[in-house]
Amino acid sequence: MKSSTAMAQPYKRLTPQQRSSKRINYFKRTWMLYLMLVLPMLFFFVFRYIPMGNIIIAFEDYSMFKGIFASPFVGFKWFAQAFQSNDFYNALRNTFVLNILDLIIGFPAPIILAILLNELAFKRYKKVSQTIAYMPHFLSWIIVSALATELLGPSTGVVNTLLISLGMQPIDFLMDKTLWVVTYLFLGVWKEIGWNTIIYLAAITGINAELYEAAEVDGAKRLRKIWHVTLPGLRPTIVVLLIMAMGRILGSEFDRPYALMNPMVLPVADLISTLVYRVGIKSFQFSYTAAIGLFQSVVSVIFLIGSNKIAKRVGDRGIW
Amino acid sequence: MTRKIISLVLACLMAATVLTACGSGATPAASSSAASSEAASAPVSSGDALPAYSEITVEVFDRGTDGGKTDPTNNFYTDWIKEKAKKDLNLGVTFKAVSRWEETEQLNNLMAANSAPDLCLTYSQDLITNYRDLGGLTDLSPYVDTLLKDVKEFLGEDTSLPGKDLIMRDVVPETGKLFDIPARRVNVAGANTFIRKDWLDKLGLKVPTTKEEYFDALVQFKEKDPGKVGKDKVIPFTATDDIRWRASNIVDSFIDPNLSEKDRYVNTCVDRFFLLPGYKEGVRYLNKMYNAGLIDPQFPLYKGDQESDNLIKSGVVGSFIHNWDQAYRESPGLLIELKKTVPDAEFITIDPFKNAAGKTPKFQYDKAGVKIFVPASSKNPEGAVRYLNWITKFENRYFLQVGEEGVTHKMVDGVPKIITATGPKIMNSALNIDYTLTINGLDLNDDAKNLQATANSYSFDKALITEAYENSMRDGVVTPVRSITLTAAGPVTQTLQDKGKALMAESIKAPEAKFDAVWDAGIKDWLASGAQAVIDERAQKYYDLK
Repeated sequence: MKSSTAMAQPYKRLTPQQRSSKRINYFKRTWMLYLMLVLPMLFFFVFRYIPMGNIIIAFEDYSMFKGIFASPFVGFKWFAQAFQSNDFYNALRNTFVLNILDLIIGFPAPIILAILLNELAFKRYKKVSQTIAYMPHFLSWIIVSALATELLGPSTGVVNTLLISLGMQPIDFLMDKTLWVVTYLFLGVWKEIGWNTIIYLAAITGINAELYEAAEVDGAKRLRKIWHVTLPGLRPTIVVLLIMAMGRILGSEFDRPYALMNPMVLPVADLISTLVYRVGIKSFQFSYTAAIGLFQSVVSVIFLIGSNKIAKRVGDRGIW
Repeated sequence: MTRKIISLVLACLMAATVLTACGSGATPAASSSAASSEAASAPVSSGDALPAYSEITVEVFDRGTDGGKTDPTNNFYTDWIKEKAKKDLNLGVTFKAVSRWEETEQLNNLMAANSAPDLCLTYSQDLITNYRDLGGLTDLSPYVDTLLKDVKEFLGEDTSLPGKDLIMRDVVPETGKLFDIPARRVNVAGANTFIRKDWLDKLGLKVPTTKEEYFDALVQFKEKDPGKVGKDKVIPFTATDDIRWRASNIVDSFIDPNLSEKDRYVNTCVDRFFLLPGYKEGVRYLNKMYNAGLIDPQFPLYKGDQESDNLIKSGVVGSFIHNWDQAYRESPGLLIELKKTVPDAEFITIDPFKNAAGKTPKFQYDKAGVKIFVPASSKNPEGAVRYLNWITKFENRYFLQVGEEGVTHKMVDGVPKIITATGPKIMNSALNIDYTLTINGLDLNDDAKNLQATANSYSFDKALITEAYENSMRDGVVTPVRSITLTAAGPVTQTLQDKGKALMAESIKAPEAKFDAVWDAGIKDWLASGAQAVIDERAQKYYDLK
């Protein structure tokens, strides 16, 4: 390619005229690529950045008939209201606790599964179990919650019917507050483990096979190979996914808690997302919920940037 | 996820606000005052001279097109309306479909974009209040005695506000302005208690007439399993996470019968009676039932009626409380389905829950049904109002309700019996309620005929239906109403409803010894979550009727 030969002599001194004609040449050659970029840029501008202008309703007493320009400006009133509300603190606490637990339990699970699958010698078995493991990803949380009731319900659930017939006490997985958290976490792992495993399996495939051979020559057994070759090979992927997970630490899914929630566990199951739905969407407090949403986003971005910085400091590449 | 939802909402609102900004320069307030001055100067339509031709759009619910249903905006009945309205009123009518299941969201978008139909309807009072406070609605008060005469007469007296006209239900007392008009519910029967008659018979029990007999019958259902469904499977009493409603007849009978109208009004918060004296004892009774193993322990997990319905249909349920005719309805078809597996199964209605005064109080519906309004953005509010009045006239609504004889109804003993039609004349909503607007339920201009027609409309014995109706209406209690602008409840309604479910579920499932502690803590939290502010406002704004 012409451009590569041009790039090959970067140190040749050029007069200003030559430089500008070079730039024109470069543009003549590549303008089509830039033109193609216009569309996605336009998409982001129109559908991502223009709507962000409406964040201003968090600082207004927004009326949908007056619009964002005519609604009165009220400063930090809605933020103040949120920080004075017990429900908000409760939701904030629940969001943190559930997400951190999710991170501790849900994050390592697919890594372990990927390594286990990778060690299988029988390739067809590996493929089948991989497929089975990621199938639940395609179920909606509504279906999963219905399945959970069918399986875990205290009187008609399959699991508890079995326990009762064995002469044991039924376990209230869905209505006991502590057990609900366990169920919530477990179902999250169950549903998403296979899907995230695919990413790690792909990363494992990219590890140079010579490294394994070299390790074998050095007398490494299976565990040693995993520890010294597979895991270091996975490290960049793990770091990137971990940073992204940190960015979601205050973000919250909506359908998962909403579908699994029931009145008995409201105090531990009410997350920021469900609070926003109930208070904002159902009760028309758009400004109030925009304020909560903005707060949530700002904290998420701080977490994202912070964890990225830390990752870079300890010697990894980070995500940008 | 949240960010996604918010950005989606923001995007919609953004699009809406851009349109608002580009729209006509007239502010909502300006156009509504213009409308009222127009009305004042407009000649009262007396029928002799038709006004110049104009057009309106009317909202119609789209309930989905399953089961051979037709396009709600273009079918046999809309054609009939369009043709007759053109002839009678010189009015062009176009229908605009709004999904029944996303009613609020779609209306919000239409309203914010100033493109809502000229006549809109919603069951959400919060929505109306919200639109009204934001200046989004047209004042209809100038039309009440002119263009809305037939509506005023048909709606009649307000049973919840004796001495007042139902049409003026939502008038703003400070200004005398009226921003919405209610539909009239012909049948206001609320709740009923159903019990398996065949189970009672098998056990040799008589139909329960007191709480104690009812309790005892449920205990026997559980212990003796008269339906032979398996002892551990029997559910003597089924409910859902909305057990406040699904056990209302039981709990309401504990409310102090000497409660003054004022106390009832002030302490009724978001339609919940938790704060009324005696209610706690009712919940304690449910707690006792629960701890005796009479209530399905999984009730908090049932988010709608479906699971509970399935249990009833499968024949393991002994008793439940629901709409006055729930067991007999074609949909969800509880008794119809049950009879397929248990042919001799029978559900009867009973009325055993007496209060201290020996009455059996039950929830009864407000006479005011769906709320109809004209958005401030309407270019033809007068046309909309004339249309509303026109469709309320007996000759128009009657045809829409029953359709053609032999196709959608047949005459039985002089009253129409609705039959299921197929093909182009099928009704998308029962009795075409989505087109008749101001009426909910069949009205034949005669109460006795109405009941007869109601009884006709089920596939079960007429006596069963009549008995159900009478049981449900006996000592019915209508929640008192005042024409007051209340603002405290709006933002906290959903929170209080959700927390109310938690309060009920936790208290009922608590061990008997802990009941007081759980209930009191729950009520304390409920009050702190906004209920206190709501009842304070109600206390402050209450006024005596005389």
